Amino acid sequence: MEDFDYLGDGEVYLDGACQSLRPRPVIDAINNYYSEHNSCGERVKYKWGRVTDEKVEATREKVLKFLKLKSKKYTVSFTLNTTYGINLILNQIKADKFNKIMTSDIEHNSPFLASLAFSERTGLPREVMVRNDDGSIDLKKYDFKKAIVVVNCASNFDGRKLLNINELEKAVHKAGGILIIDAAQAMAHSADIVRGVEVDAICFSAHKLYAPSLGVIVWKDELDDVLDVRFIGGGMVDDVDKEKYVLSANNKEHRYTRFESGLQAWGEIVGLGAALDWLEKLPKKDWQNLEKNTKELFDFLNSSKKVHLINKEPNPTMSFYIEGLDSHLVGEALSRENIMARTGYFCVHYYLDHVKGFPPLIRFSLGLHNRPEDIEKIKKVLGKVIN
Amino acid sequence: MVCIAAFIILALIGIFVAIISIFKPKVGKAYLKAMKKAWGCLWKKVRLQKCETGFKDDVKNTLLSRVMLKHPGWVRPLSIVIEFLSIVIVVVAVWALLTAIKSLLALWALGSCNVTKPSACTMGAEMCSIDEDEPKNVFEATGRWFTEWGEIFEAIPDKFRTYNIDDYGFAYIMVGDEDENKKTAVDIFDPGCLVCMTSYKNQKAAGFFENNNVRLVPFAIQGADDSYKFKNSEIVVRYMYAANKIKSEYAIAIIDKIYTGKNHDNYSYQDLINDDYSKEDTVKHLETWLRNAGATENEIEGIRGNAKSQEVTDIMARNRQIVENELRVKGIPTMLYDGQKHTGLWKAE
Repeated sequence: MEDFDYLGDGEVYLDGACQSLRPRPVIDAINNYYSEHNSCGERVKYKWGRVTDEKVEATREKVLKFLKLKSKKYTVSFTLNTTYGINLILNQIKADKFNKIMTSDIEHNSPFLASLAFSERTGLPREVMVRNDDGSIDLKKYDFKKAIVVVNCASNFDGRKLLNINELEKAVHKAGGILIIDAAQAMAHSADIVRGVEVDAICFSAHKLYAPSLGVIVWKDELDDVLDVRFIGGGMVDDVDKEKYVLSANNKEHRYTRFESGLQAWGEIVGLGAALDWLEKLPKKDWQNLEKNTKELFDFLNSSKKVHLINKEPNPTMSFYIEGLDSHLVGEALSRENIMARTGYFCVHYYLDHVKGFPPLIRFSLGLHNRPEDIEKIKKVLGKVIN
Repeated sequence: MVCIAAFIILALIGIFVAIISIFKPKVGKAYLKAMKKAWGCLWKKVRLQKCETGFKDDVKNTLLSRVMLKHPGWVRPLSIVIEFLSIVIVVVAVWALLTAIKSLLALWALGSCNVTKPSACTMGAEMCSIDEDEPKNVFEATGRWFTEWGEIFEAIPDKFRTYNIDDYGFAYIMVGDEDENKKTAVDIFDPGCLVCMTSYKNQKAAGFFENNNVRLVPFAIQGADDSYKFKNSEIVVRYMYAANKIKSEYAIAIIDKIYTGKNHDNYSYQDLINDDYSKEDTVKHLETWLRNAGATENEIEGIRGNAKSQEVTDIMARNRQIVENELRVKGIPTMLYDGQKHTGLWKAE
């Protein structure tokens, strides 16, 4: 694809689940910010600042549009990454309004550890739900009464989705709880799973969505009712007296400031807007190409008896290990052939290591930048290693 | 040898890093980074924490990743070889470190880096060592390695104690008359020991015997099998104690002749007694020297008889017990002086 024209011949990048490659329009948008309207956003009156403000505001709208959520109910705040977003929420939640915190076994450390730390800090009990092989949660097995539920809607090692997210949302809300979704792995290629679902907060990382490094919290305005103010500073207030202050977030117009302390990464926010534009305009054939590549690679891995594939079905993110071979060693060998893939436990130590007892894995996470010849090369090189 | 080898291994690592850092700062930095990573991983493992990839894996993967692409079948056997080598390297490194520490401690506490054979340590003081048996097999050597630690730790408190000469019931030969205004020294020596001879000459030249109350303790070094390190030292020591019963000057005359005298061919009597003379030759010379010192034939006959007596045997056994077990002396000459124990060659300050 010409938007990734900087990829050299034979360079195969397979780590989009960590950092997706940025297409040219996104890189151009960031460069454009730095070279044409570098400014301090949301607080200045000069020309460049107004340009930045317009683009940042537009990005907030694009995020909501991308997720099919209404601005009347939801606010978009920017932060560092998914982990930071989840921690920002959990660190400010009024624990006395809830009975427990719940997460699931296949989580990335981002929600897994944040929920553990929350439980340790507040004394509220923590429950780790067991996800089904298809990624869903058996709702009948769990009591969501006044529960804070923090789960992903797509896993970062095999892409399995929270198929019954709608039912979970209803069950949690009916029981007086709140639902925080880690959508880091869903946003790039599986956003449909979370689109239009009225959860209390969605946290994701723009850098897994072909955008610059940035965290995003999309949150329901009602969430503010269960939050204390624990993280506060510049850019968050309308007025400050010696002993008191007025939060800007009290007004719907500036509600996003609730999680945006201090100056923001304006260039990256503008870049996210460009990434969402790029994704919206992406021709259908590019998505079909990703789907085809995914299927072909899945079939290849699935066909070898020596390969233990974690995925039950094709997904751009797939993890595996090869019998008798150390995954880190395989990763290093692949790197020698310019195939760049992750190895290890991908911050899912609890499930992959302790629950399943897998050795360190290799993860291929395909992206829209991958070409059919990439798959051929992977098959050729890996085929040699396996056989 | 062992202690030197250990020092060499550790020193080489340090020198290697230092030299690389001087001439190739980038390579040196990369090496230090790898060392830090290795240490980080080791520290995690020591605390029973997991280390996903360690220094060993990085090295192994770098080597094997090339092989994996060209000869995948070789990866497993090579991996086993690398694992084995890494174990060997770790064992050797740990052994080297512990042996280096042991040697340093022994050097400080016992005066020699070699506990079993003190004279083999070139870094220790010049001395005639009181050696233990060489281990006969690997099991004995392993056992000895551990018992040496025990000996070292037992000797550490001795470094901080004050030695009171009168606490030890030595049989000794007094040089001159005791003068309460002078300091008292105990001088343990073997008539056959070259270092003792040099010490004696140094002391004599420096007027040490005139300026101090010196108690000479002739001591014939014995090995673990009770054999004597210098073949005729036993008879010399026996004659010295026997002569001392009559007159201390007779005993002093014997050692003075051995340490300073030469025959008509200009050979030192110490060398001749150690290497050439039989026991009978030695006795003949000892009695001649006694005669020259003024001993009468009756006195010489008495000394001859007394030298074989149980009394002298008991004196020598008692002195050996004090030297080897109570003072834990590893080599002689050893002096007790100024509340301290000094082992090795005496040099005039």
